[in-house]
Amino acid sequence: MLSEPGNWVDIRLAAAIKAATTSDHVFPGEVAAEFRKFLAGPLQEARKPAELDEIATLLISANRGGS
Amino acid sequence: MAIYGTNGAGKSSFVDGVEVTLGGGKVGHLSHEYSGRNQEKGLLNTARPAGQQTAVKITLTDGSSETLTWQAGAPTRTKQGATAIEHWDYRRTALRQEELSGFIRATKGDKYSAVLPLLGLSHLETTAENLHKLVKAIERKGDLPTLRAKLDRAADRRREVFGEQTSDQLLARLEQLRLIYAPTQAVESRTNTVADVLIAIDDQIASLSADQRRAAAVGEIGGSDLAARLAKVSEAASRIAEVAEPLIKERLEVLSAANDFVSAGSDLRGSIACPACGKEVDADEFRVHVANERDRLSATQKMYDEHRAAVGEVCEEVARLRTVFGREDLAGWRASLSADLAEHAAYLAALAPADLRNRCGSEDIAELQARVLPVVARAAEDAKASPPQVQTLVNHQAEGRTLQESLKAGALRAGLNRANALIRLVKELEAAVREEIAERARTTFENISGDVQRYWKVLQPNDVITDVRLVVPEDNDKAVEVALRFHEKAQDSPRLTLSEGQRNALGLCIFLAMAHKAADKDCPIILDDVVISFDREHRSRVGALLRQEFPNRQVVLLTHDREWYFELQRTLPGTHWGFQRLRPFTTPFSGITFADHGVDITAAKARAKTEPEEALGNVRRLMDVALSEVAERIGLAVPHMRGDDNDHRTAGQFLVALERAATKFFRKKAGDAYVPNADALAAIKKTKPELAIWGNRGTHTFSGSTTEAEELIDGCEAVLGAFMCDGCGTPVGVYESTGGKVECRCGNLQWRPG
Repeated sequence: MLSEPGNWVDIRLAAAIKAATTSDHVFPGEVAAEFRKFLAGPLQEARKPAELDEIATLLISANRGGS
Repeated sequence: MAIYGTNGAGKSSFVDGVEVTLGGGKVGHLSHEYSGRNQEKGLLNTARPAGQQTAVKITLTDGSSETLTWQAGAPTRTKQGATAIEHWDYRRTALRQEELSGFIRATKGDKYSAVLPLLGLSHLETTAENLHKLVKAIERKGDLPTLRAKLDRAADRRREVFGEQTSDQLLARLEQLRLIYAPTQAVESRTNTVADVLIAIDDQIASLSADQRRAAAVGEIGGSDLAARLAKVSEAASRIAEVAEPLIKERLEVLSAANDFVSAGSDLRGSIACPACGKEVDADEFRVHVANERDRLSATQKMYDEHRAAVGEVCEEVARLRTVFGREDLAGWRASLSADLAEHAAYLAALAPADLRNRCGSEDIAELQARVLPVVARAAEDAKASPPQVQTLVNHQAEGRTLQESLKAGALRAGLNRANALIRLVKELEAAVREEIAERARTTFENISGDVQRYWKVLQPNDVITDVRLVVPEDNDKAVEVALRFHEKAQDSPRLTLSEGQRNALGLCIFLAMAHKAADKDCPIILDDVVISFDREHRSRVGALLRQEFPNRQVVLLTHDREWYFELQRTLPGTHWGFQRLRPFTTPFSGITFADHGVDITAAKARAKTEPEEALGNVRRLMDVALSEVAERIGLAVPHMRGDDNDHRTAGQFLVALERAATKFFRKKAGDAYVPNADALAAIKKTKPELAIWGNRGTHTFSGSTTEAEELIDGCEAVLGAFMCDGCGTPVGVYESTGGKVECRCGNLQWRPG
């Protein structure tokens, strides 16, 4: 498996969402979409704290269902 | 191709050029705080002439090319033709010494970091690190400490006002209050209902007489929970104080231990004293130990967050008290206060909650306790004497506010639960990415282990070490270990068995195995000074390995090892390999230059007509290189010189040694016998003084005539020609005969030392 498996993000993300979901909270689809985007690109390079703050803000918003 | 150059000649710049092209316009080892956002301070020639452009261009034999050019900021990329370059992976194309030495020095945990780039997995490790940091970012941006403090406060207040009543009982109480104060309002939501009740109570208070309104306001002040809020701040501060003192002491020990650590020049092996706490830990456990220390500091950070949140709660209540205290209705009550309390009241009125929030320390808390709490206590006492009707209104108002806070707390709790779920997800993802790394590493190791072991046998034919392979332990997310057998026995601690050179060899084997897997990408293999820790014997095997395992791949070897370079020249087939030498770097204006080896006498001759002084200098430099190659091929004995001077001998020095040795050692076949090579000796004797006088003059004083230049060039051509066989076209030294003799391929020329 020397080339990048194209669907590793989807597979790992789906498993992580399943493991983190509880009766108290079900993740909106937007969260998966944001993580898919970040895992496939921006998070693969070293990020400054301010950049991680931006990503955190987007994820928090997505986790509210985009509200 | 093999390229030789002394340190600083610019060898690695070629690798930088490849990396910058394949690596998104950046070079890994230039990523530091001084290199600029686009590495413009590290990549570009600082003495670039005005009007010139900085560019990197890679051209393939099919004519396709990729070019990066810099004007300002990030480079611009242009492609010519459908080039294969876009499919190359830098980590499977080039290997630098520092990447290899990183692997050599690594402990189990470090080895993990060092091997990831070789496996092309470092981007996943970066992802995992980013996810780890993202947890803190979510805590920060979600202001979770404040959220938690508000929830704690709401729960405390609910207990104060309603005791242990259940949520259903609270809702029943809300319904009772609604029926008392807002029976006609439509019930849209509990939030609206409690708001309607509070508005109705405010309206009723506003409609009271002045005395009654004053009593109500006093009741509001008296009902303040400021004391409890201040207690929370004090508790948080004392928790911090408990850890602060030992923490400071410990940090001082860190400085001391870290200093000892650095002074001792430790390379993180064996048992070491942790710079954070002094505890003896195994080097492999060091990273984990440091991570635990970091977590402990994180716990301290959490205490500071809680303290900040508690201060925020105090400031909110102080702001509310100031508002109520400032009401006109309370003018009479304020006037009735004793001198001491009046002074305290003035203090409360002058407080600026925003400033207090920023600076709030133990002295401020003590002052609030000493000054504001007595005012609140006095109001509470006076409120007891309020008319029953007013007391009821104030009590209902307090209940209404507490119900309102409880309802808000429900929303806050939902937000906190959402944030906690998000953090849980990020942690799950970090673990998932690390699992992905481990799985891919294991798969890759299995995939390449056959190649690694085959290469290993070539580089390290000593069969006491066998079955060398990399493994990812099942029980550790961030570790890679070398497994091997020593005299057929599996080693628990291979680091005790492998020497530095062997580890280096293993790193090279892994890279080459990875590069081998990328053969379908038709990319070259570039090795930059990777044999530094190899001894002569093992260094020789690298050439053999490349010849044996990569006969159809383009390989570029960059080395500052002159001996190895000449050995490669002798052992690698000239039909497939090219050899170039870089001149020592002199100034950024001249930049990186190849030595004019290949003896381009023609160009020197052409130049002699118009620029004789230039031609004289050029031919001298040309002879510096060409004669060093002749000397290397024939094994010319030269006096030892100090340090790098051995690598910087001049043509004049070589001619002196050649003149002395050629008389006895240089032979030419005449019939069946070898006779002294008189022509060669004559050419050397004639050219030696000319080169010393005219060549030096051309180089140093830039003077000389066309006649001198042409005569010197002819002489140099004759000297070099004397070492090249007219018959077979190969130089003397290309073939090693018996008894230390070296010959040209056909044996017509012979150098017979001794």
